[in-house]
Amino acid sequence: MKKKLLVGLVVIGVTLASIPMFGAFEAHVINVVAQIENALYVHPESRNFGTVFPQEYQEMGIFVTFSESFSATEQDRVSIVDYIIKQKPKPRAEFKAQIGTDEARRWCHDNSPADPNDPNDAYYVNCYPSLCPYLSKTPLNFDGNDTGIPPFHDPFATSSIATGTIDKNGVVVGDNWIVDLAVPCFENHCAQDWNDFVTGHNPDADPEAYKLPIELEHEVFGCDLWFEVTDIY
Amino acid sequence: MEEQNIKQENTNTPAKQAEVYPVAQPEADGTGETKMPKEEKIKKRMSKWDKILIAIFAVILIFILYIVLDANKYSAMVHVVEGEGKVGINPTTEALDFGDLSRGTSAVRQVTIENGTFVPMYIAVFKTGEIGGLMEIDDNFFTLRPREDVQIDFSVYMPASAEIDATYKGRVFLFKIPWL
Repeated sequence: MKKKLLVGLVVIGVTLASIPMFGAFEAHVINVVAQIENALYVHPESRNFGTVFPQEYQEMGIFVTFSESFSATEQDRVSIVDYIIKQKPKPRAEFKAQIGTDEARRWCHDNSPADPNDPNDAYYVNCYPSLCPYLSKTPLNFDGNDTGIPPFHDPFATSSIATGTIDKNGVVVGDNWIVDLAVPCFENHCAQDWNDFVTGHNPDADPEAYKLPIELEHEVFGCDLWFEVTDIY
Repeated sequence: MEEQNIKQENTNTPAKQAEVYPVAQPEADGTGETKMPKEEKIKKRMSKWDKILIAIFAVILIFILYIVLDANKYSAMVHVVEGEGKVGINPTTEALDFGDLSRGTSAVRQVTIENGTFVPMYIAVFKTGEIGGLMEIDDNFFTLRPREDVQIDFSVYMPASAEIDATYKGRVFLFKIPWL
């Protein structure tokens, strides 16, 4: 019995002694690193514009600031956060429930309708027709370091990304954004001042490119906005 | 008939037993105390299989200890705030902090895993605490091949039933198991 106890103690002792050796071994040979990225993606609460009519204009606001934990005095390592506002196609609730939210978002982003004018296209079964081109992101820009995007833009273009910076030690610790919707018209059913409506919001936009097919009348459109942190320092 | 008196000796008497099984008698050691003489110990040597089993057990124990000690352990937390269209962010890397979220909002943090070895690694992620019920992991229980890296997304969605001003905390354990 004593011998068995002694053997067990020896085994435990050897194990404990070999842990630091393992540490050294692991650091140089077994190199598997897992680290948290400073990227953070935040999806604000769904905002519903409700039923809208062509050439209508509506606004709603979003406020981006630091969390309580970041604002704590003990957190003084970094104070400035750069972020961008991205637009992504919105998956339908049934599709999200079917394959999961992340997969559904990825599918809607990676695919597009075979016929954008067909409301029965297979894409629209899973994803809403895109509202993204008609949403602007306008910063109130109290700190003067934010860049907005007007409506009537290509949501997938790199130039269609709004940027912002918030500084924990700044005068204004947060950014107010106005997300406004310039409602498009339907082909052959647009008012005479449609061109002025479009260029009034975005002088660089081609009014013809932003008319919707009449087949999509009465459809619900959607767009996911994501605030993505790109750098902290 | 020759009677053979087979005289069977009866060994059951105490005297006979003392002859057959001598009983150690206490010895005087000069101090007035008596002590028992050293008993003959029957040495039982460990068999070869015993040694092999102990060695295997030790290796397994060391392996398990390595896996547990090498696992990445992160704190995770999210704070619930009131209001619509408001988000508070904390993108620091000390913890999986999802910031301040109002009901109906969601946040995603990422963990990058790089396998710089020549051995495949089996990745297993476990979550605990109140935040565990709010958190989704987009990829779990998979093998990371040598010299490859992968990004795991951790998503938190704040439900409508979340308590305002509450902070949901927990921990995330990320195990990396050499997988041959």
